[in-house]
Amino acid sequence: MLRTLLDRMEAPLGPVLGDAAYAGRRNVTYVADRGGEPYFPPKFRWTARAEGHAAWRRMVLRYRHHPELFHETYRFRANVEGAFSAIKRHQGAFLRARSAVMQRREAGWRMIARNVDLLARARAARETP
Amino acid sequence: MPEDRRAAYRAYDRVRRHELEIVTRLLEEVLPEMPKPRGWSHQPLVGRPGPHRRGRPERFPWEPMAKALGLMHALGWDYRQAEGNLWVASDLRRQIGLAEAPSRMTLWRAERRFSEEWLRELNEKVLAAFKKKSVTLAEEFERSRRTRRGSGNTRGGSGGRSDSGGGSPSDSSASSMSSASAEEKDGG
Repeated sequence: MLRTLLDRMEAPLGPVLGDAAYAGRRNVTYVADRGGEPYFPPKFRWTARAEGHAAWRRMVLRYRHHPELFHETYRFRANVEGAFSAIKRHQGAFLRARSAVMQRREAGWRMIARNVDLLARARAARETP
Repeated sequence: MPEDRRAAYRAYDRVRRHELEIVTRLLEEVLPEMPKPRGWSHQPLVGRPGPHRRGRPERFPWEPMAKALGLMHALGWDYRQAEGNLWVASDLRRQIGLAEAPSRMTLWRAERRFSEEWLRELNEKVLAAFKKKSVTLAEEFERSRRTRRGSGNTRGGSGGRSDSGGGSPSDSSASSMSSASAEEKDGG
């Protein structure tokens, strides 16, 4: 799933944040191979054994020995969660279209509508005394 | 209530009361910079366009239809509501440049005609108003990280995780840091 998402991004990845469900050796290696830095929090009973995935070991040791550095980057995940929460509250949590093509179009229009709304509020805040 | 909260509420209230006009005006600002969607053959008269032309011609020009679709999604209308609201509000139709009210199927077909690339370009145009000039997202992220590190306000081991919260809105994918975009600088 993570790889499918990241495959669509052509730009260099940079730090990649995800919740514990994404914390797997293959995901971490994929991110590292694409030039990114994985930041996934620990799952229950995980170990630092590389098992052929050196990036995994690096990530686990960074989390264990420098948790403050890890969390300094990981805190930005709140921005993403907040953005998606706001979109769902503003636009609703489901799409009306049934075909995949139209669902993508509808989602695109909704993002534009959301950004237009934000722009309107930002301008109103500037103009309101 | 603190003064900044009060000002934010006043701005919010103003946008809510005049949402229709504000959204229409913003779309009017952005859409003239956009190219015509590929394959949009506008024929004002109903009927077959000619012996060598293929496909059903669009009955409305692309710009008013883009405004109608933008309004529809911004105000949370479905296709039937959009059809009805455009039908009854002749002043709104005149404002967005529609000679007559499109049916819900016409709106649906028009939505299909705007490709994903076109929508992405339109979104970039809207976002350009938020973004600071000549600052990329990666630079903004690094600057924020440095500032936080410099101020000594880092989160330590126990309270460091931030799994929830009301961060700033953004436009792009969930899992990469590129989502932490720069619009929070200007966003309300």
